[in-house]
Amino acid sequence: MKRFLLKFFYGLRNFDFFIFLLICWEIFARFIYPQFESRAAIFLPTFLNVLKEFWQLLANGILWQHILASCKRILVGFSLASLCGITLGFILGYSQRAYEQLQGICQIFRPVPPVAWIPISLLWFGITEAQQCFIIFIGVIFPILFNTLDGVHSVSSQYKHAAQSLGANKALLLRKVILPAALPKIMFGLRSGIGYAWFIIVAAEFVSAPRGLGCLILEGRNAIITERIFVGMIVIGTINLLFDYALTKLENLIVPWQKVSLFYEE
Amino acid sequence: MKTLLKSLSRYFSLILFLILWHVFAVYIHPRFNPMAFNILPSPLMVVQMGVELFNRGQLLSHIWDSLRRVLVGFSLAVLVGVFLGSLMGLSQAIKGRLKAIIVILRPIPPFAWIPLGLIWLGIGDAEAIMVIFLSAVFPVALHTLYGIEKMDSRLKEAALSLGVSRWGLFKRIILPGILPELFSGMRQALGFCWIVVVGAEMVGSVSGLGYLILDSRNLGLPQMAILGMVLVGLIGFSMDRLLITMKKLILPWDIK
Repeated sequence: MKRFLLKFFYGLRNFDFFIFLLICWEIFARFIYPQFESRAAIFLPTFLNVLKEFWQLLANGILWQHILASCKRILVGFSLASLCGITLGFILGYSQRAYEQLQGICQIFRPVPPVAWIPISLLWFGITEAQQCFIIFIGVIFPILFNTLDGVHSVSSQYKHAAQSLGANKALLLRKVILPAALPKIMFGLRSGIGYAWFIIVAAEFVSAPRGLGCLILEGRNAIITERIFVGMIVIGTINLLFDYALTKLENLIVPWQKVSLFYEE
Repeated sequence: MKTLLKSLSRYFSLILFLILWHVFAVYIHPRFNPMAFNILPSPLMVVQMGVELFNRGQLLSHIWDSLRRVLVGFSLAVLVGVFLGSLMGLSQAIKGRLKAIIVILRPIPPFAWIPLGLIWLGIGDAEAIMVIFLSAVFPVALHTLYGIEKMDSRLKEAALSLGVSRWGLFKRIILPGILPELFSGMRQALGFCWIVVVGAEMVGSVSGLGYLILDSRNLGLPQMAILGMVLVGLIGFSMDRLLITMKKLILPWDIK
């Protein structure tokens, strides 16, 4: 516990400049900006007002509804995409023929930004949860699929030959040789996938959603409550960071032979 | 003949996909859905739409609007990103402080900046450029930093002991040293930019490919949305290729 606290405060020492910036923001928005701009409160709310808005939204439970709605979509879309992506990645990586035929189609869809799917998916699904999940699915599946493919392809053929000459059948080869060797890449794909999911969900919720963090931000814009926009951004950033943290910890548990350090621990 | 067959077999899956799409959209889907073309247009209708928009001169102006925003935002991001990354690479104290800020700002999705951009800068180019800049600056800065950290410190020391100036050190040693990492950062950033420009134009703009895609919904022309998706995909893909070719030209020693 003591070590943890020490580490925590040691990490905090770098935040002095950030806190200084926050204080500058507060002073500028509260005392200086209103002097020469009558609409200052709309353009730049003060930091304390943002915190107040956050507390209000938290207290009357609205924030939780938005957070839960977004998290639910992310989890559904992300789990479906990781299931399909990893399976497809293994099929493409394992069979040369499937690779030759299916790779072309995957390469066509990959460069299309997931956001561009929004209008056409609205036609297909209507304004539903399924549409939101579809957008996340489309955005997340390609990083996962191509990282898995990369992982399967990067397995050294010596390991495969060694296992086969010792009499491993296909299932055993897949489970004991290819899967562990591809795991670091797969986990990397999953981690970048969850980042993409949070990236995209904001745009998807801007265009069509009754609830969700993207919707909270848009609400702030339409009602010209700029504090609410800031609250939405901060909450999304924090949750995104937490998801990344959890996945990195999971990765270090599953793939202990390849330690991945968090960006801010370096 | 042989090369023709070979190239055909390479695009076999693409051709099969287009044929299946055409058959489904024209012959099968309308059987059980009277509104079929409003939900899934055929590939020929998409091409027709493209020709029509091109003849009206709108297509090229939309493409140019999107491209301009991406290029301006991306170039600004590369300049600022390389500057910040070099600063972080040179001084340990700056590195810690800037990293603390990046840790907090980076997880915020670029799209979440759009409403703020609209309030600060209004509808138009400036807002899109700001969001594109924010999406691209972090990957470039971080990759620059990694490039500097990965560099062999003996190179720097040798140059310093031979009496190189500060600017010479940057130009002759650091810049060539970080270029391979910088290119991978730029590739990632350009990918982000191209996603972000579509979203930014959907929410706060009246021109560009993202607007074209969203406008199709208001006009009830799904072929326009698909046309936009195809164009966005093609341009994004070719820009990525362009960066790879540039890398091969500039960095012939770093072949992967």
